[in-house]
Amino acid sequence: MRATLSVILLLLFLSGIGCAETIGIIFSADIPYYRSVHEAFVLRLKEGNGGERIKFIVQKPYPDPVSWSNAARKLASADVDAIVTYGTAASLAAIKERTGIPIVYAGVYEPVNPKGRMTGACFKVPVSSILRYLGDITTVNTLGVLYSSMEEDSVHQMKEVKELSSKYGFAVREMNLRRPADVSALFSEGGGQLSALFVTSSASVHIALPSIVNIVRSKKIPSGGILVPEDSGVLVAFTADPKEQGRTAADKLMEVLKGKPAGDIPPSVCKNIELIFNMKEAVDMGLKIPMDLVTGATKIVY
Amino acid sequence: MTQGFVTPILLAALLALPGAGKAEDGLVIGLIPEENIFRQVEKHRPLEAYLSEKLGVKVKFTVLSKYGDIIDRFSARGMDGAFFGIFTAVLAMEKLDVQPVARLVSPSGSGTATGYIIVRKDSGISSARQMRGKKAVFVDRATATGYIFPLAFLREQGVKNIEGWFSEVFFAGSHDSAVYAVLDGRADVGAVKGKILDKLTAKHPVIKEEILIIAQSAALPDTTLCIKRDMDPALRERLKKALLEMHEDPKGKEALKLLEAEKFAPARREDFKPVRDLVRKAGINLAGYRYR
Repeated sequence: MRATLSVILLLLFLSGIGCAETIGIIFSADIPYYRSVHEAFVLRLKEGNGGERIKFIVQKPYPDPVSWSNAARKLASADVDAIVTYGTAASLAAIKERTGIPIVYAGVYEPVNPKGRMTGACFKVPVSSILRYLGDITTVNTLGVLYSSMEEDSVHQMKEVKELSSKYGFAVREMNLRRPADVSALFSEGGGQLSALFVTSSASVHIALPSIVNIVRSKKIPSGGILVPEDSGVLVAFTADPKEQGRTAADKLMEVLKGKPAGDIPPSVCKNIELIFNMKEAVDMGLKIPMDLVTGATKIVY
Repeated sequence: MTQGFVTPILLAALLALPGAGKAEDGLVIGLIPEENIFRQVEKHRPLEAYLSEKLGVKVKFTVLSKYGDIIDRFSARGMDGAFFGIFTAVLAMEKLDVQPVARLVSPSGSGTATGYIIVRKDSGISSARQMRGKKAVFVDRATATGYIFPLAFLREQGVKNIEGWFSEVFFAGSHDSAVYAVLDGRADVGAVKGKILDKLTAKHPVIKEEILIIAQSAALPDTTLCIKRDMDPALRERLKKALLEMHEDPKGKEALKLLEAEKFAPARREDFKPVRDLVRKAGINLAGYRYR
Protein backbone atom coordinates (compact mmCIF):
# COMPACT_ATOMS: atom_id res chain seq x y z
CA MET A 1 0.00 0.00 0.00
CA ARG A 2 2.82 2.37 1.03
CA ALA A 3 4.79 1.45 -2.12
CA THR A 4 1.79 2.18 -4.34
CA LEU A 5 1.28 5.56 -2.70
CA SER A 6 4.96 6.40 -3.22
CA VAL A 7 4.73 5.54 -6.92
CA ILE A 8 1.63 7.73 -7.32
CA LEU A 9 3.33 10.66 -5.56
CA LEU A 10 6.47 10.22 -7.68
CA LEU A 11 4.40 10.23 -10.87
CA LEU A 12 2.57 13.36 -9.76
CA PHE A 13 5.90 15.03 -8.98
CA LEU A 14 7.42 14.08 -12.33
CA SER A 15 4.36 15.28 -14.26
CA GLY A 16 4.66 18.60 -12.43
CA ILE A 17 8.27 19.11 -13.51
CA GLY A 18 7.43 19.08 -17.21
CA CYS A 19 4.23 21.13 -16.80
CA ALA A 20 4.01 23.91 -19.41
CA GLU A 21 1.63 26.82 -19.23
CA THR A 22 -0.43 27.47 -22.31
CA ILE A 23 -1.09 31.05 -23.32
CA GLY A 24 -3.62 31.93 -25.94
CA ILE A 25 -2.90 35.01 -28.01
CA ILE A 26 -5.40 36.96 -30.13
CA PHE A 27 -4.36 39.65 -32.59
CA SER A 28 -7.11 42.16 -33.41
CA ALA A 29 -5.61 41.96 -36.88
CA ASP A 30 -2.42 40.71 -38.44
CA ILE A 31 -0.80 44.12 -38.80
CA PRO A 32 2.83 45.21 -38.32
CA TYR A 33 2.11 47.02 -35.05
CA TYR A 34 0.71 43.96 -33.25
CA ARG A 35 3.45 41.78 -34.72
CA SER A 36 6.03 44.11 -33.12
CA VAL A 37 4.14 44.02 -29.81
CA HIS A 38 4.12 40.21 -29.94
CA GLU A 39 7.84 39.98 -30.68
CA ALA A 40 8.66 42.17 -27.69
CA PHE A 41 6.20 40.21 -25.55
CA VAL A 42 7.77 36.83 -26.35
CA LEU A 43 11.29 38.18 -25.93
CA ARG A 44 10.48 39.58 -22.51
CA LEU A 45 8.96 36.30 -21.37
CA LYS A 46 12.16 34.52 -22.39
CA GLU A 47 14.25 37.09 -20.52
CA GLY A 48 12.07 36.48 -17.49
CA ASN A 49 12.76 32.73 -17.78
CA GLY A 50 9.10 32.11 -18.46
CA GLY A 51 9.31 31.72 -22.21
CA GLU A 52 10.94 28.30 -22.24
CA ARG A 53 8.09 26.57 -20.44
CA ILE A 54 5.27 28.47 -22.10
CA LYS A 55 3.33 27.14 -25.04
CA PHE A 56 1.58 29.68 -27.26
CA ILE A 57 -1.60 29.25 -29.27
CA VAL A 58 -1.72 32.25 -31.58
CA GLN A 59 -4.93 33.42 -33.25
CA LYS A 60 -4.85 36.06 -36.00
CA PRO A 61 -8.52 36.34 -36.97
CA TYR A 62 -9.94 38.37 -39.83
CA PRO A 63 -10.99 41.70 -38.26
CA ASP A 64 -14.69 41.24 -37.58
CA PRO A 65 -16.68 40.54 -34.40
CA VAL A 66 -17.54 36.93 -35.30
CA SER A 67 -13.92 36.03 -35.98
CA TRP A 68 -12.71 37.73 -32.78
CA SER A 69 -15.33 35.82 -30.76
CA ASN A 70 -14.46 32.53 -32.45
CA ALA A 71 -10.80 33.07 -31.65
CA ALA A 72 -11.61 33.68 -27.99
CA ARG A 73 -13.88 30.60 -27.87
CA LYS A 74 -11.18 28.40 -29.39
CA LEU A 75 -8.75 29.50 -26.71
CA ALA A 76 -11.33 28.90 -23.99
CA SER A 77 -11.98 25.38 -25.24
CA ALA A 78 -8.21 24.78 -25.40
CA ASP A 79 -8.28 25.55 -21.65
CA VAL A 80 -5.42 28.05 -21.85
CA ASP A 81 -4.00 29.45 -18.61
CA ALA A 82 -4.30 33.05 -19.79
CA ILE A 83 -5.38 34.96 -22.85
CA VAL A 84 -3.19 37.76 -24.19
CA THR A 85 -4.87 40.17 -26.58
CA TYR A 86 -3.40 42.79 -28.90
CA GLY A 87 -5.72 45.72 -29.58
CA THR A 88 -9.06 46.79 -28.17
CA ALA A 89 -11.24 44.66 -30.48
CA ALA A 90 -9.67 41.35 -29.48
CA SER A 91 -9.61 42.39 -25.81
CA LEU A 92 -13.32 43.17 -25.74
CA ALA A 93 -14.13 39.92 -27.60
CA ALA A 94 -12.19 37.96 -24.98
CA ILE A 95 -14.10 39.68 -22.16
CA LYS A 96 -17.46 38.93 -23.75
CA GLU A 97 -16.76 35.19 -23.71
CA ARG A 98 -16.91 35.25 -19.89
CA THR A 99 -14.57 32.28 -19.61
CA GLY A 100 -13.04 33.19 -16.27
CA ILE A 101 -9.60 32.93 -17.87
CA PRO A 102 -7.36 35.89 -16.92
CA ILE A 103 -6.77 38.34 -19.74
CA VAL A 104 -3.68 40.48 -20.34
CA TYR A 105 -3.87 43.04 -23.11
CA ALA A 106 -1.47 45.28 -25.03
CA GLY A 107 -1.79 47.98 -27.67
CA VAL A 108 -5.16 49.09 -26.31
CA TYR A 109 -6.41 52.67 -26.62
CA GLU A 110 -7.21 53.75 -23.03
CA PRO A 111 -7.42 51.24 -20.16
CA VAL A 112 -9.92 48.39 -20.31
CA ASN A 113 -10.62 47.09 -16.85
CA PRO A 114 -13.65 44.93 -16.19
CA LYS A 115 -13.38 44.07 -12.52
CA GLY A 116 -11.33 41.09 -11.54
CA ARG A 117 -10.21 39.61 -14.83
CA MET A 118 -8.07 41.93 -16.78
CA THR A 119 -4.88 43.93 -16.81
CA GLY A 120 -2.45 45.09 -19.43
CA ALA A 121 -0.66 47.85 -21.28
CA CYS A 122 -2.52 50.66 -22.97
CA PHE A 123 -1.83 54.08 -24.42
CA LYS A 124 -3.59 57.37 -24.88
CA VAL A 125 -2.92 59.83 -27.66
CA PRO A 126 -4.84 63.09 -27.60
CA VAL A 127 -6.81 63.17 -30.83
CA SER A 128 -6.68 66.96 -30.69
CA SER A 129 -2.89 66.87 -31.18
CA ILE A 130 -3.24 65.14 -34.56
CA LEU A 131 -5.91 67.65 -35.59
CA ARG A 132 -3.66 70.52 -34.55
CA TYR A 133 -0.67 69.14 -36.49
CA LEU A 134 -2.80 68.56 -39.59
CA GLY A 135 -4.16 72.10 -39.27
CA ASP A 136 -0.62 73.45 -39.10
CA ILE A 137 0.32 71.59 -42.29
CA THR A 138 -2.75 72.28 -44.43
CA THR A 139 -6.07 74.09 -44.42
CA VAL A 140 -8.64 71.58 -43.23
CA ASN A 141 -12.19 72.19 -44.43
CA THR A 142 -13.48 68.62 -44.60
CA LEU A 143 -11.77 65.93 -42.58
CA GLY A 144 -12.45 62.31 -43.45
CA VAL A 145 -12.34 60.02 -40.42
CA LEU A 146 -11.61 56.39 -41.22
CA TYR A 147 -12.97 54.15 -38.48
CA SER A 148 -14.87 50.93 -37.97
CA SER A 149 -18.23 50.87 -36.22
CA MET A 150 -17.31 47.33 -35.06
CA GLU A 151 -14.39 48.61 -33.01
CA GLU A 152 -15.12 50.65 -29.91
CA ASP A 153 -11.78 52.44 -29.75
CA SER A 154 -12.06 53.75 -33.27
CA VAL A 155 -15.69 54.82 -32.69
CA HIS A 156 -14.50 56.66 -29.59
CA GLN A 157 -11.75 58.42 -31.57
CA MET A 158 -14.21 59.35 -34.33
CA LYS A 159 -16.54 60.88 -31.72
CA GLU A 160 -13.64 62.83 -30.24
CA VAL A 161 -12.83 64.24 -33.69
CA LYS A 162 -16.47 65.24 -34.16
CA GLU A 163 -16.58 66.97 -30.80
CA LEU A 164 -13.45 68.93 -31.64
CA SER A 165 -14.44 69.75 -35.24
CA SER A 166 -16.43 72.87 -34.37
CA LYS A 167 -13.53 74.22 -32.31
CA TYR A 168 -11.11 73.65 -35.17
CA GLY A 169 -13.64 74.83 -37.75
CA PHE A 170 -13.91 71.90 -40.15
CA ALA A 171 -16.60 69.48 -41.27
CA VAL A 172 -16.27 65.75 -40.59
CA ARG A 173 -17.01 63.01 -43.08
CA GLU A 174 -17.50 59.74 -41.22
CA MET A 175 -15.93 56.90 -43.20
CA ASN A 176 -17.05 53.64 -41.62
CA LEU A 177 -14.90 50.83 -43.00
CA ARG A 178 -16.66 47.57 -42.18
CA ARG A 179 -14.52 45.45 -44.49
CA PRO A 180 -10.96 46.28 -45.63
CA ALA A 181 -12.03 45.44 -49.20
CA ASP A 182 -14.51 48.34 -49.17
CA VAL A 183 -11.89 51.06 -48.93
CA SER A 184 -11.99 52.25 -52.56
CA ALA A 185 -15.78 52.49 -52.53
CA LEU A 186 -15.64 54.46 -49.30
CA PHE A 187 -13.45 57.14 -50.87
CA SER A 188 -15.80 57.37 -53.86
CA GLU A 189 -18.83 58.02 -51.64
CA GLY A 190 -19.78 61.38 -50.24
CA GLY A 191 -18.62 63.51 -53.13
CA GLY A 192 -16.31 66.49 -52.83
CA GLN A 193 -12.64 66.49 -52.01
CA LEU A 194 -11.42 65.72 -48.52
CA SER A 195 -8.88 68.25 -47.34
CA ALA A 196 -7.34 65.81 -44.84
CA LEU A 197 -7.78 62.30 -43.50
CA PHE A 198 -7.70 60.98 -39.94
CA VAL A 199 -6.83 57.29 -39.57
CA THR A 200 -8.11 55.86 -36.28
CA SER A 201 -6.47 52.88 -34.58
CA SER A 202 -9.09 50.48 -36.03
CA ALA A 203 -7.66 47.07 -36.97
CA SER A 204 -9.88 46.90 -40.08
CA VAL A 205 -8.61 50.27 -41.22
CA HIS A 206 -4.99 49.30 -40.60
CA ILE A 207 -5.35 46.09 -42.62
CA ALA A 208 -6.35 48.32 -45.54
CA LEU A 209 -3.64 50.91 -44.90
CA PRO A 210 -1.55 50.24 -48.05
CA SER A 211 -4.66 50.81 -50.23
CA ILE A 212 -5.62 53.88 -48.19
CA VAL A 213 -2.16 55.39 -48.63
CA ASN A 214 -2.27 54.78 -52.38
CA ILE A 215 -5.57 56.64 -52.58
CA VAL A 216 -4.50 59.63 -50.47
CA ARG A 217 -1.25 59.86 -52.43
CA SER A 218 -3.09 59.96 -55.74
CA LYS A 219 -5.59 62.52 -54.41
CA LYS A 220 -2.90 64.46 -52.51
CA ILE A 221 -4.83 64.29 -49.23
CA PRO A 222 -2.65 64.91 -46.14
CA SER A 223 -3.23 62.26 -43.49
CA GLY A 224 -2.69 61.76 -39.79
CA GLY A 225 -3.10 58.57 -37.84
CA ILE A 226 -2.79 56.58 -34.65
CA LEU A 227 -0.57 53.49 -34.40
CA VAL A 228 0.38 53.60 -38.06
CA PRO A 229 3.91 52.39 -38.87
CA GLU A 230 6.51 55.06 -39.55
CA ASP A 231 7.00 53.91 -43.16
CA SER A 232 3.27 53.64 -43.89
CA GLY A 233 3.06 56.85 -45.90
CA VAL A 234 0.84 58.62 -43.39
CA LEU A 235 2.04 62.22 -42.97
CA VAL A 236 1.68 62.67 -39.20
CA ALA A 237 1.62 59.64 -36.96
CA PHE A 238 1.37 58.98 -33.28
CA THR A 239 2.35 55.54 -32.21
CA ALA A 240 2.84 53.96 -28.80
CA ASP A 241 6.18 52.15 -28.60
CA PRO A 242 5.22 48.52 -29.43
CA LYS A 243 8.22 47.19 -27.49
CA GLU A 244 7.07 48.94 -24.34
CA GLN A 245 3.56 47.58 -24.85
CA GLY A 246 4.82 44.01 -25.37
CA ARG A 247 7.27 44.10 -22.48
CA THR A 248 4.73 45.57 -20.07
CA ALA A 249 2.14 42.95 -21.02
CA ALA A 250 4.71 40.18 -20.52
CA ASP A 251 5.59 41.49 -17.05
CA LYS A 252 1.93 41.48 -16.10
CA LEU A 253 1.41 37.99 -17.50
CA MET A 254 4.32 36.68 -15.41
CA GLU A 255 2.63 38.07 -12.31
CA VAL A 256 -0.63 36.39 -13.32
CA LEU A 257 1.14 33.07 -13.88
CA LYS A 258 2.61 33.35 -10.38
CA GLY A 259 -0.94 33.36 -9.08
CA LYS A 260 -1.83 37.03 -8.72
CA PRO A 261 -5.38 37.81 -9.90
CA ALA A 262 -5.28 39.92 -13.08
CA GLY A 263 -7.75 42.36 -11.55
CA ASP A 264 -5.30 43.09 -8.73
CA ILE A 265 -2.63 44.23 -11.19
CA PRO A 266 -3.23 47.82 -12.26
CA PRO A 267 -3.09 48.45 -16.00
CA SER A 268 -0.20 50.61 -17.23
CA VAL A 269 -0.62 53.60 -19.47
CA CYS A 270 2.58 53.54 -21.49
CA LYS A 271 4.23 56.88 -22.08
CA ASN A 272 6.69 56.20 -24.88
CA ILE A 273 4.72 57.89 -27.61
CA GLU A 274 6.42 58.52 -30.94
CA LEU A 275 5.50 61.55 -33.01
CA ILE A 276 6.52 60.85 -36.58
CA PHE A 277 6.48 63.25 -39.52
CA ASN A 278 6.86 61.88 -43.02
CA MET A 279 8.72 64.69 -44.78
CA LYS A 280 9.06 62.65 -47.99
CA GLU A 281 5.29 62.35 -48.36
CA ALA A 282 4.86 66.03 -47.49
CA VAL A 283 7.34 67.08 -50.19
CA ASP A 284 5.69 64.76 -52.73
CA MET A 285 2.35 66.42 -51.96
CA GLY A 286 3.84 69.88 -52.24
CA LEU A 287 3.30 70.56 -48.54
CA LYS A 288 5.62 72.17 -46.05
CA ILE A 289 5.77 70.88 -42.48
CA PRO A 290 6.53 73.88 -40.25
CA MET A 291 9.93 73.62 -38.64
CA ASP A 292 8.62 74.18 -35.12
CA LEU A 293 6.67 70.95 -35.53
CA VAL A 294 9.63 69.10 -36.99
CA THR A 295 11.89 70.00 -34.08
CA GLY A 296 9.38 68.44 -31.67
CA ALA A 297 9.16 65.17 -33.61
CA THR A 298 10.68 62.02 -32.23
CA LYS A 299 11.17 60.62 -35.73
CA ILE A 300 11.36 62.10 -39.20
CA VAL A 301 10.96 60.02 -42.33
CA TYR A 302 12.93 61.49 -45.24
CA MET B 1 16.32 60.83 -21.18
CA THR B 2 15.05 58.56 -23.90
CA GLN B 3 13.08 61.10 -25.84
CA GLY B 4 14.65 61.32 -29.27
CA PHE B 5 13.94 64.86 -30.27
CA VAL B 6 15.32 65.73 -33.66
CA THR B 7 18.58 67.25 -32.64
CA PRO B 8 18.70 71.00 -32.90
CA ILE B 9 22.50 70.90 -32.86
CA LEU B 10 22.83 69.97 -36.52
CA LEU B 11 20.13 72.44 -37.46
CA ALA B 12 21.89 75.21 -35.58
CA ALA B 13 25.15 74.40 -37.30
CA LEU B 14 23.40 74.72 -40.65
CA LEU B 15 21.64 77.87 -39.65
CA ALA B 16 24.46 79.87 -38.10
CA LEU B 17 24.10 83.06 -40.02
CA PRO B 18 26.78 83.34 -42.70
CA GLY B 19 30.16 84.66 -41.67
CA ALA B 20 29.50 84.67 -37.93
CA GLY B 21 32.49 84.23 -35.70
CA LYS B 22 35.13 86.93 -36.21
CA ALA B 23 34.81 90.00 -34.04
CA GLU B 24 37.21 92.07 -36.17
CA ASP B 25 34.78 91.79 -39.09
CA GLY B 26 32.13 93.64 -37.09
CA LEU B 27 29.91 92.78 -34.18
CA VAL B 28 28.98 89.18 -33.48
CA ILE B 29 25.83 88.76 -31.40
CA GLY B 30 24.60 85.41 -30.11
CA LEU B 31 20.99 84.24 -29.93
CA ILE B 32 19.53 81.53 -27.74
CA PRO B 33 17.18 78.90 -29.23
CA GLU B 34 14.16 80.15 -27.29
CA GLU B 35 11.87 79.01 -30.07
CA ASN B 36 12.84 76.70 -32.88
CA ILE B 37 16.00 78.02 -34.40
CA PHE B 38 14.62 78.43 -37.92
CA ARG B 39 12.11 80.92 -36.59
CA GLN B 40 14.78 82.61 -34.50
CA VAL B 41 16.84 83.22 -37.64
CA GLU B 42 13.89 84.63 -39.57
CA LYS B 43 12.81 86.85 -36.70
CA HIS B 44 16.22 88.40 -36.18
CA ARG B 45 17.36 89.02 -39.77
CA PRO B 46 15.76 92.51 -40.01
CA LEU B 47 17.29 93.53 -36.66
CA GLU B 48 20.68 92.38 -37.91
CA ALA B 49 20.29 94.51 -41.05
CA TYR B 50 18.96 97.48 -39.08
CA LEU B 51 21.85 97.54 -36.63
CA SER B 52 24.42 97.07 -39.39
CA GLU B 53 23.03 100.12 -41.15
CA LYS B 54 22.74 102.27 -38.03
CA LEU B 55 26.16 101.41 -36.62
CA GLY B 56 28.04 101.40 -39.91
CA VAL B 57 29.66 98.08 -38.99
CA LYS B 58 28.61 94.61 -40.03
CA VAL B 59 26.46 93.06 -37.28
CA LYS B 60 26.19 89.29 -37.44
CA PHE B 61 23.83 87.15 -35.40
CA THR B 62 24.66 83.56 -34.60
CA VAL B 63 22.11 81.12 -33.20
CA LEU B 64 23.28 78.65 -30.59
CA SER B 65 21.82 75.15 -30.60
CA LYS B 66 21.43 74.93 -26.83
CA TYR B 67 20.91 77.50 -24.10
CA GLY B 68 24.12 76.59 -22.31
CA ASP B 69 26.14 76.94 -25.53
CA ILE B 70 25.85 80.68 -25.30
CA ILE B 71 28.04 80.58 -22.21
CA ASP B 72 30.44 77.88 -23.46
CA ARG B 73 30.93 79.30 -26.94
CA PHE B 74 30.78 83.01 -26.22
CA SER B 75 34.53 83.41 -26.48
CA ALA B 76 35.18 80.61 -28.97
CA ARG B 77 32.80 82.15 -31.47
CA GLY B 78 34.23 85.60 -30.89
CA MET B 79 30.95 87.04 -29.67
CA ASP B 80 30.81 90.67 -28.56
CA GLY B 81 27.45 90.21 -26.93
CA ALA B 82 24.34 88.09 -26.92
CA PHE B 83 20.62 88.22 -26.40
CA PHE B 84 20.63 86.16 -23.26
CA GLY B 85 17.67 84.40 -21.74
CA ILE B 86 16.59 85.07 -18.18
CA PHE B 87 18.91 82.54 -16.57
CA THR B 88 21.75 82.65 -19.08
CA ALA B 89 22.00 86.41 -18.53
CA VAL B 90 22.65 85.85 -14.82
CA LEU B 91 25.02 83.02 -15.63
CA ALA B 92 26.86 85.21 -18.17
CA MET B 93 27.22 88.04 -15.66
CA GLU B 94 28.76 85.47 -13.29
CA LYS B 95 30.99 83.64 -15.77
CA LEU B 96 31.67 86.12 -18.59
CA ASP B 97 32.65 89.73 -18.38
CA VAL B 98 29.39 91.13 -19.76
CA GLN B 99 26.96 93.82 -18.73
CA PRO B 100 23.26 94.26 -19.60
CA VAL B 101 22.48 96.96 -22.17
CA ALA B 102 18.88 96.70 -23.36
CA ARG B 103 15.84 94.51 -23.01
CA LEU B 104 12.93 93.85 -25.33
CA VAL B 105 9.60 95.28 -24.21
CA SER B 106 6.43 93.52 -25.42
CA PRO B 107 3.49 95.39 -27.00
CA SER B 108 1.73 95.12 -23.64
CA GLY B 109 4.56 97.18 -22.14
CA SER B 110 6.15 94.35 -20.21
CA GLY B 111 9.84 93.58 -20.26
CA THR B 112 9.38 90.53 -18.10
CA ALA B 113 8.31 86.93 -18.52
CA THR B 114 6.81 84.32 -16.24
CA GLY B 115 7.25 80.59 -16.12
CA TYR B 116 4.40 78.07 -16.03
CA ILE B 117 4.28 74.52 -14.81
CA ILE B 118 1.72 72.80 -16.99
CA VAL B 119 -0.15 69.49 -17.21
CA ARG B 120 -2.98 68.21 -19.37
CA LYS B 121 -6.33 68.93 -17.75
CA ASP B 122 -7.31 65.27 -18.09
CA SER B 123 -4.12 64.10 -16.33
CA GLY B 124 -5.61 64.31 -12.85
CA ILE B 125 -2.49 66.14 -11.66
CA SER B 126 -2.96 69.34 -9.70
CA SER B 127 -0.13 69.35 -7.17
CA ALA B 128 3.56 68.57 -6.80
CA ARG B 129 2.66 65.47 -4.80
CA GLN B 130 0.64 64.08 -7.71
CA MET B 131 3.60 64.56 -10.05
CA ARG B 132 5.52 61.77 -8.31
CA GLY B 133 6.39 58.92 -10.69
CA LYS B 134 5.23 60.89 -13.73
CA LYS B 135 7.18 61.86 -16.83
CA ALA B 136 8.40 65.45 -16.99
CA VAL B 137 9.59 67.60 -19.86
CA PHE B 138 11.77 70.65 -19.29
CA VAL B 139 13.32 72.96 -21.83
CA ASP B 140 17.00 73.06 -20.94
CA ARG B 141 19.07 73.08 -17.75
CA ALA B 142 20.07 76.66 -18.59
CA THR B 143 16.56 78.15 -18.70
CA ALA B 144 14.86 79.96 -15.83
CA THR B 145 11.24 79.31 -16.79
CA GLY B 146 11.93 75.93 -18.41
CA TYR B 147 13.95 74.39 -15.57
CA ILE B 148 15.09 76.60 -12.68
CA PHE B 149 11.54 77.67 -11.80
CA PRO B 150 10.12 74.10 -11.51
CA LEU B 151 13.24 73.16 -9.56
CA ALA B 152 12.56 76.00 -7.08
CA PHE B 153 8.83 75.24 -6.98
CA LEU B 154 9.34 71.56 -6.20
CA ARG B 155 12.04 72.37 -3.65
CA GLU B 156 9.58 74.63 -1.86
CA GLN B 157 7.17 71.69 -1.85
CA GLY B 158 9.80 69.53 -0.18
CA VAL B 159 11.14 67.77 -3.28
CA LYS B 160 14.93 67.89 -3.10
CA ASN B 161 15.77 65.43 -5.90
CA ILE B 162 13.81 66.31 -9.00
CA GLU B 163 15.23 63.40 -11.04
CA GLY B 164 14.10 60.91 -8.41
CA TRP B 165 10.68 62.49 -8.06
CA PHE B 166 9.74 61.85 -11.68
CA SER B 167 9.87 58.47 -13.44
CA GLU B 168 11.60 60.17 -16.34
CA VAL B 169 12.86 63.65 -17.12
CA PHE B 170 13.78 64.83 -20.60
CA PHE B 171 14.69 68.15 -22.20
CA ALA B 172 12.79 69.33 -25.26
CA GLY B 173 15.31 72.01 -26.28
CA SER B 174 12.71 74.71 -26.86
CA HIS B 175 9.60 75.99 -25.10
CA ASP B 176 7.20 75.20 -27.94
CA SER B 177 8.46 71.62 -28.17
CA ALA B 178 7.91 71.26 -24.42
CA VAL B 179 4.31 72.49 -24.75
CA TYR B 180 3.66 70.03 -27.59
CA ALA B 181 5.15 67.16 -25.56
CA VAL B 182 2.61 67.78 -22.77
CA LEU B 183 -0.28 68.30 -25.19
CA ASP B 184 0.56 65.07 -27.02
CA GLY B 185 0.78 63.07 -23.81
CA ARG B 186 4.49 62.38 -24.35
CA ALA B 187 5.07 64.01 -20.96
CA ASP B 188 2.76 64.41 -17.97
CA VAL B 189 4.28 67.61 -16.59
CA GLY B 190 6.08 70.43 -18.33
CA ALA B 191 7.71 73.76 -17.55
CA VAL B 192 7.61 76.50 -20.15
CA LYS B 193 7.80 80.24 -20.66
CA GLY B 194 4.31 81.70 -20.32
CA LYS B 195 4.46 83.88 -23.41
CA ILE B 196 5.27 80.90 -25.64
CA LEU B 197 2.26 78.99 -24.31
CA ASP B 198 0.14 82.12 -24.74
CA LYS B 199 1.30 82.44 -28.35
CA LEU B 200 0.45 78.83 -29.14
CA THR B 201 -2.92 79.26 -27.42
CA ALA B 202 -3.65 82.34 -29.53
CA LYS B 203 -2.98 80.23 -32.64
CA HIS B 204 -4.93 77.19 -31.38
CA PRO B 205 -7.51 78.30 -28.78
CA VAL B 206 -8.36 74.63 -28.08
CA ILE B 207 -5.06 74.37 -26.21
CA LYS B 208 -6.56 76.51 -23.44
CA GLU B 209 -9.14 73.79 -22.81
CA GLU B 210 -6.48 71.09 -22.67
CA ILE B 211 -3.77 72.65 -20.52
CA LEU B 212 -3.86 73.38 -16.80
CA ILE B 213 -1.35 75.80 -15.31
CA ILE B 214 -0.39 74.47 -11.89
CA ALA B 215 2.10 77.14 -10.90
CA GLN B 216 3.36 80.47 -12.17
CA SER B 217 6.68 82.12 -11.41
CA ALA B 218 7.28 85.72 -10.42
CA ALA B 219 7.91 88.20 -13.24
CA LEU B 220 11.48 87.82 -14.47
CA PRO B 221 13.47 90.12 -16.78
CA ASP B 222 13.09 88.73 -20.28
CA THR B 223 15.51 88.51 -23.20
CA THR B 224 18.33 90.98 -22.58
CA LEU B 225 21.24 92.08 -24.72
CA CYS B 226 24.44 91.89 -22.71
CA ILE B 227 27.69 93.20 -24.13
CA LYS B 228 31.34 92.53 -23.28
CA ARG B 229 32.60 95.05 -20.82
CA ASP B 230 35.75 95.68 -22.89
CA MET B 231 33.83 96.71 -26.02
CA ASP B 232 34.87 100.09 -27.42
CA PRO B 233 32.81 102.51 -25.24
CA ALA B 234 31.86 104.68 -28.23
CA LEU B 235 30.55 101.69 -30.17
CA ARG B 236 28.69 100.44 -27.10
CA GLU B 237 26.96 103.80 -26.70
CA ARG B 238 26.02 103.88 -30.41
CA LEU B 239 24.63 100.36 -30.15
CA LYS B 240 22.62 101.24 -27.05
CA LYS B 241 21.28 104.40 -28.66
CA ALA B 242 20.32 102.54 -31.86
CA LEU B 243 18.39 99.98 -29.86
CA LEU B 244 16.65 102.40 -27.52
CA GLU B 245 15.56 104.65 -30.38
CA MET B 246 14.66 102.06 -32.98
CA HIS B 247 10.91 102.16 -32.20
CA GLU B 248 10.92 105.74 -33.50
CA ASP B 249 12.28 104.65 -36.89
CA PRO B 250 9.90 102.97 -39.44
CA LYS B 251 12.53 100.36 -40.36
CA GLY B 252 13.24 99.77 -36.69
CA LYS B 253 9.54 99.39 -36.00
CA GLU B 254 9.30 96.70 -38.67
CA ALA B 255 12.20 94.81 -37.15
CA LEU B 256 10.65 95.10 -33.68
CA LYS B 257 7.31 93.86 -35.00
CA LEU B 258 8.93 90.62 -36.14
CA LEU B 259 10.39 90.23 -32.68
CA GLU B 260 6.88 90.78 -31.29
CA ALA B 261 8.22 93.74 -29.33
CA GLU B 262 7.23 97.36 -28.89
CA LYS B 263 10.70 98.68 -28.22
CA PHE B 264 13.94 98.20 -26.33
CA ALA B 265 14.30 99.51 -22.79
CA PRO B 266 17.48 100.07 -20.78
CA ALA B 267 18.61 97.06 -18.74
CA ARG B 268 20.51 97.09 -15.48
CA ARG B 269 22.25 94.45 -13.40
CA GLU B 270 19.84 95.10 -10.48
CA ASP B 271 16.88 94.04 -12.65
CA PHE B 272 18.03 90.45 -12.22
CA LYS B 273 17.48 90.25 -8.44
CA PRO B 274 14.29 88.12 -8.86
CA VAL B 275 16.29 85.67 -10.98
CA ARG B 276 19.04 85.42 -8.39
CA ASP B 277 16.34 84.83 -5.74
CA LEU B 278 14.86 82.05 -7.86
CA VAL B 279 18.28 80.48 -8.36
CA ARG B 280 18.81 80.52 -4.60
CA LYS B 281 15.39 78.91 -3.99
CA ALA B 282 16.32 76.21 -6.50
CA GLY B 283 19.41 75.46 -4.41
CA ILE B 284 21.78 76.34 -7.23
CA ASN B 285 25.29 77.65 -6.76
CA LEU B 286 25.97 79.58 -9.97
CA ALA B 287 29.73 79.19 -9.82
CA GLY B 288 29.58 75.40 -9.90
CA TYR B 289 26.29 74.88 -11.73
CA ARG B 290 26.42 72.20 -14.44
CA TYR B 291 24.06 73.61 -17.01
CA ARG B 292 24.93 71.25 -19.90
